[in-house]
Amino acid sequence: MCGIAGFFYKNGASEVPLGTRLSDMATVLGSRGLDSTGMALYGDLPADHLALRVHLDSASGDTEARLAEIRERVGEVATVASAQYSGNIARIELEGIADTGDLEHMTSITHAVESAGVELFSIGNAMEIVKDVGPASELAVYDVGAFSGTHGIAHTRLATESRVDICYSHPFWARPFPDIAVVHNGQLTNDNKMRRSFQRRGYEFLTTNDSEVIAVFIADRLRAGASLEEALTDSIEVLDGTFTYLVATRKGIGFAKDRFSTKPLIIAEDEGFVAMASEEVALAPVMTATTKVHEPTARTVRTWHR
Amino acid sequence: MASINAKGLTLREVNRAIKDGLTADGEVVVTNTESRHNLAVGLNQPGKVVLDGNVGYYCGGMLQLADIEVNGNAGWSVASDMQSGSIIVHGNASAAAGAAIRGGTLVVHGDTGPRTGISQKGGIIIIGGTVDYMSGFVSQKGLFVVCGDTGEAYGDSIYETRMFVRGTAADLGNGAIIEAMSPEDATELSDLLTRYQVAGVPDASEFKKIVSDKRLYNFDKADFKIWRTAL
Repeated sequence: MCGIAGFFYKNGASEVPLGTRLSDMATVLGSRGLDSTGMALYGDLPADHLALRVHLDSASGDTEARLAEIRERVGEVATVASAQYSGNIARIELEGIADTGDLEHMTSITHAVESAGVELFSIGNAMEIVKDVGPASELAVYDVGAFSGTHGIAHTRLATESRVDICYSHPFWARPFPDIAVVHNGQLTNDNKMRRSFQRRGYEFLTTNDSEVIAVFIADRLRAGASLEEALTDSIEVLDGTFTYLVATRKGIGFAKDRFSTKPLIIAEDEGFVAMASEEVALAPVMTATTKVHEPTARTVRTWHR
Repeated sequence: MASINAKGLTLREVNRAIKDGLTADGEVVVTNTESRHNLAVGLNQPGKVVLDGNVGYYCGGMLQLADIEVNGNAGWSVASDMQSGSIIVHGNASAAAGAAIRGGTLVVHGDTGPRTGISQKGGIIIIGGTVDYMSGFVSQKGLFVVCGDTGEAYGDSIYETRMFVRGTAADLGNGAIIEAMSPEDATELSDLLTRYQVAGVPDASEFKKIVSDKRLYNFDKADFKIWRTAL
């Protein structure tokens, strides 16, 4: 089944932190899947900074030493401003990055982190991905409720396509493109073919999950000059299967719904925000008396930008 | 009239209170519905239930005898498997509204999602707005009225259901054809639109009648090519 949610503040960060909004929605969406819960949160860092979120399996012990090792390895390709961890996730902030759109540099940072034998959840000038197995309450240890930001996406997973593992949980980062992530409800049938095609072009994938392919597809189209809306529209024809997914970039947020319209999405829009979720019941915590609610039809996409 | 505040109650408590209210008073109002799933499911007694707000999935499922009114939107599969009684939704409804009903009347004043009226086996469905992809799929019997436009593949593989569409029906499904409306059809349609005051009560002459061309009545391997384009 899976639950997806998105939230977008139209006028910049508001008094209710973005992380609280997404947590409230993800908690209700737990009824659609409790295997794992995750969020891609978009805030603001200085222009030459990058935030890295790294999976440290704390249960295996010696976390400090592993974080120190990652710090050292990343330090060879970028300047580390800070590095700390809570629970299973480390947050490393880099500074002095000349061009956060430089894919070669992003790839070398990615490889540096991964050479320590850990998974890199995300790289972003705005985006930070936090995810763990279990329900939304498992994310409290990462203090997501206090994350102040402009927009983000969340996911609650009922594993159907690949195993229950933090590595296979959403959001999926469009590795190594900074600031692009996807949450997806559905199943693709041509993801292997697409993945092989991307691999021939030099892209690397961390998983065999279909949703990771969507993230890379969107990032690839954006890099080729397409607008987010154009990339989403293309995806409806190119992706085969049933899907409703949300994508977020540094600038905005959007959704695409397939031609079969089998995966739900309800949109609540108000003067100050747009909220989207698989079920209207998950929008109840954010709705006010003036909020307008509607359901997009088959073959539709829409985007909102800062 | 019994009044139930659903806030803080479990689903079972709400649905039990609705049944008790119907038995005691014959009329029940439920507030703070908060888009919750499975409200008023399995009712099997006469009376009126007003759900004052948005409701979630499967509202009024398997309904018999009672009349339900929803003052808001409804989620997936409102009125699914209804046997008798009625459900009137004043807002929009999501996917599979009125799925597999055998009797009773479903009226949605707003729009509905994909697969509205899928596998209808009787009864009446009236939609004031538009319906989305594959609505009326394998519908077998009954009456299905759409005052707005229809999505792709409307009325695919239908049997004896009579469908009336006021808006565009640009993409009819396999085996669905437009047929002239009889005077009896027009009278029946006018009576229904007037009775439920749907979409400003348009004139019956504005509707097209859609029925099966009976090509796909029985399964035949030779029809495989047609089925491939259905989905």
